[in-house]
Amino acid sequence: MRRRDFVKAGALTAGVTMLDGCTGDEEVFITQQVRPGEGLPGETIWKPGVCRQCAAACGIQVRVVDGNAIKIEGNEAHPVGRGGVCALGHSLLQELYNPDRILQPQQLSGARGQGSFQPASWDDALAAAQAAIASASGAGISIVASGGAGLDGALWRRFASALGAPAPTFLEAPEAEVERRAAQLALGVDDYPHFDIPNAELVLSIGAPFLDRWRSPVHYINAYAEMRRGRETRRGRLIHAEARMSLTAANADVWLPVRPGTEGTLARALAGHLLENGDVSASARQRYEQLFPTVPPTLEEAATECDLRMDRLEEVAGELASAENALVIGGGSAAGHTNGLYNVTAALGLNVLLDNLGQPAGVHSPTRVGLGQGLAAAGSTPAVTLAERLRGGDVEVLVVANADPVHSLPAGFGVQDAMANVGTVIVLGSFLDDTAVHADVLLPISTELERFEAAEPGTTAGAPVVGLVEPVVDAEGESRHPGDIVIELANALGATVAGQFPWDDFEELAEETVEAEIARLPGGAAAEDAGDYFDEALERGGIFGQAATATPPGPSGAGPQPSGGRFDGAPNEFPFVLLPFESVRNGTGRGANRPWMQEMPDPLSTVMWNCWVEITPADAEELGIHDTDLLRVTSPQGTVELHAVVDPAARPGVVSIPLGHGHTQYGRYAEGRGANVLDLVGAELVDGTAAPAWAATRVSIERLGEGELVRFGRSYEEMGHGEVIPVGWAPHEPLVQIKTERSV
Amino acid sequence: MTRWGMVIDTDRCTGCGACVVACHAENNIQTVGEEEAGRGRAMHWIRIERYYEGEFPDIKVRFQPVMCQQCGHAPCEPVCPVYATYHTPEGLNAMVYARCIGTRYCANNCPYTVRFFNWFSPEFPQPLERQLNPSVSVRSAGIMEKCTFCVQRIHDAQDVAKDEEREVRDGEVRTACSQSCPAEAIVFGDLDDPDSRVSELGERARAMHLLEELSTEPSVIYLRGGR
Ligand code: SF4
Ligand code: SF4
Repeated sequence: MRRRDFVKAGALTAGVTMLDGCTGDEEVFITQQVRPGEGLPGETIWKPGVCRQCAAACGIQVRVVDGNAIKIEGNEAHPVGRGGVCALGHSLLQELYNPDRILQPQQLSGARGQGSFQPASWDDALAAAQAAIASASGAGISIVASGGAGLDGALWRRFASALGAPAPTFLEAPEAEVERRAAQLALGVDDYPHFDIPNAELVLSIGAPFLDRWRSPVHYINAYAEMRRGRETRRGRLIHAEARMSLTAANADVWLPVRPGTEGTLARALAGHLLENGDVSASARQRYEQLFPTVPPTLEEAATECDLRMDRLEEVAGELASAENALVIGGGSAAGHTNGLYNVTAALGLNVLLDNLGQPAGVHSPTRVGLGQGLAAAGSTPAVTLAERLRGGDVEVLVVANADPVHSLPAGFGVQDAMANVGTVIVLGSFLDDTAVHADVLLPISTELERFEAAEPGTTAGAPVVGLVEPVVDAEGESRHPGDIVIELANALGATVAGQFPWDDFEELAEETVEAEIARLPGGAAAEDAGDYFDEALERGGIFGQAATATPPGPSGAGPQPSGGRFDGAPNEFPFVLLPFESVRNGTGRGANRPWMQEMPDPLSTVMWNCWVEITPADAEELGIHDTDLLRVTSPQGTVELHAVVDPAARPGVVSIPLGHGHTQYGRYAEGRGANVLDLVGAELVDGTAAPAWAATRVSIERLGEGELVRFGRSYEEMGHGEVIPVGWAPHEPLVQIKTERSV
Repeated sequence: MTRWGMVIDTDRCTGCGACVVACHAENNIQTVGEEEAGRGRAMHWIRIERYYEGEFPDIKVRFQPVMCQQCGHAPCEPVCPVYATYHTPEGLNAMVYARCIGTRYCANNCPYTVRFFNWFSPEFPQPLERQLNPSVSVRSAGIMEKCTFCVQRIHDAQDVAKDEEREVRDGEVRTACSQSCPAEAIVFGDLDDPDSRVSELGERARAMHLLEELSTEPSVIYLRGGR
């Protein structure tokens, strides 16, 4: 018996003893009838949890009544979310209680890919999975999982290496690899750094949509709000350069609608201005010139190349040069062009000139715990390599865990068609999604609210964190912990493999790992008893270290050669640049199967229940397009049909489409709604990396006819040009916008 | 006497919409589906208003979360023939669902368009209904509804305070939108307590009311953005 089971049993025994004592208090009597920690009938119990809906892994508190999870709030003690939760995080409850959730193992009946399955017992389903793995060669096994950080990533790595298989593919945000590499080049750090945004006077973001979704929405929104109004005396300013009017651009004081693919030029020209006019120390200059030895472009040159107004550019350059403490954050679509590595390196490199490395209001080295790093060697297989193996018919067994590669990788990778080449597809998931429909065996997994979690967020929060929590509610149906499934599979695969997985379940693995690595964990060296340390972490919702402020070493060599972005498709045939983006409505697609997220209006377009393409009024007029019209969008890769949103803030020559729609499967709320913008994206990679260049496509647009698009507000056309456009739930006179000031 | 109020700092708000979903989760608000939403029947007790100003490239966007303003002089109250909407002593503009006969006069008279009518009884396909908040009644067809300032949370805090023989502390009641907000843009509290956070923030020079000229005396105060 594990120590904590013993403690649990002890709690029960103590209850019985009290009952024997017969206090006469009926509440005490009722207490005996419920399991420890479950609460009285109708009583609210708050339990710490962790949200895994995106890689940010925010700490949460869950309201549980009668064994049901009712409401999610943020865990104020958790360094990432600090008490906030994003829209997608709330909707986790509708994943847990989703009417289309798969709660029993399934085995294929009929032709693969048709979606016909029959329920199976766990024994049979596991035996089928195990038999397929056992008969495959190690090199013929591929594993795809979501996020590779933390203990679950380590467990998959260990499983792959025990089988002699290539390292797993972790489906993280495609730009993450580019941003990480850029941080390495510009700042000498091994992951994306932490920015002290709350203390900055000026934040310049080049492409990074940090108030949309991106790396860690709750963390960044909180940091931004503190920068704005956390100080009585000073309101921090935000300048954002991105071709699309995103939420981040909407909140900026100055928006630079830079021509896509020229973000690096913008950053370099700003650097040139700083070198000439700023207060740059000799050492900062020397370090920067090591990174970029060539002469930077002038502001005039940049204004032309980036298609920005000169006066605006001068204003921004001047502000950057004179700001008391400024920082520059880079990534997002700037990282999604073919020259993404150059763009982001040039953006982050500005911090070297601003001399803010390791300074308050500056950029700090990433911190992480890396729980279980001893379990397996680091490393992963890029998605593009996996796609090649799939297309080449090299994959005998594909194991997919909590991921939907068919929907979330660019169509140019050809994963959808290549699924037919795979011998056996084993899916660990909760829904029949675009990937699971190709499964031979479908193993239902528990959500993060039903399982023991050891979740590690990205490095953005600046503090070492592991979200460590017990299950908040009982697992629905027959769903099981994905980690437990790995351990069970390993145990059935012969002594050599089984010997490397000596744990009963994931929880035991977590407890042992914490004990083994305690000396290097935050507060661990001082802990007297590893068991107490573990229990306290569970009560708190994790292991939370202090914010670390290590100084990034800075560049150690030359960065990428300056280059412009290349776009798939000739401009005369495909006149528009396509910018896919993540809407707060459903992230990269996960939220699409929840009614709350479908009916939540997108904050900018106010569209509900559908997907859209944003086009500027001038371009729309030229093509005879009106708001809500049905359009055909064509790229060299493919075609989708979508409705127009005529957007007064769109950049001419650029069209934007939100990610995460157009699921061919994924339940009643998601299936067949809108189109998947990745159907338009080819196989282009970001130069110098293995990351897909998802913002490097040109498209043409054709009007098919009138259409309908459900909105919570009114459109640009309904209100007329130049007018203030309010959002209301029904036709109504616009609210008078700026109201009289109060007399106080 | 307590007078519940709210301060929303539009300079902190990014328009992320977390409050919108938080409100649905807390208050058992139904989703109506694409077709009915297309008829203007989607129900969002709190919405994010979005304004564009100017022309590209000098275009600006502003966001403003709007919910029932819990008016001191509420235009919705006197028009209800059955007193289903009334004013509580603590300044809430309350709905008695059981009295509502669905005339929708109140919605017509609300200048902020924050009242929503249940055209249908809600459906929560199994097992979605397991998430429903047991502290909030589910409204059926024919009933008008709107933001309550999360009155169930106010009552909970008052119960706890009473058990502990003390007053409700400042910051103890947080509405669902306020608690969720990653930007901490929404602050809730007692406007009659001069030391409360809402009173302090409400005195700032940036403070304003929506449609102040209508003299509705809203309990929601906005802090203007610095743009
Ligand atoms: S930011 Fe990500 S982890 Fe945090 S609450 Fe939102 S979805 Fe969950
Ligand atoms: S949660 Fe906060 S930041 Fe987000 S839209 Fe609501 S008020 Fe604004």
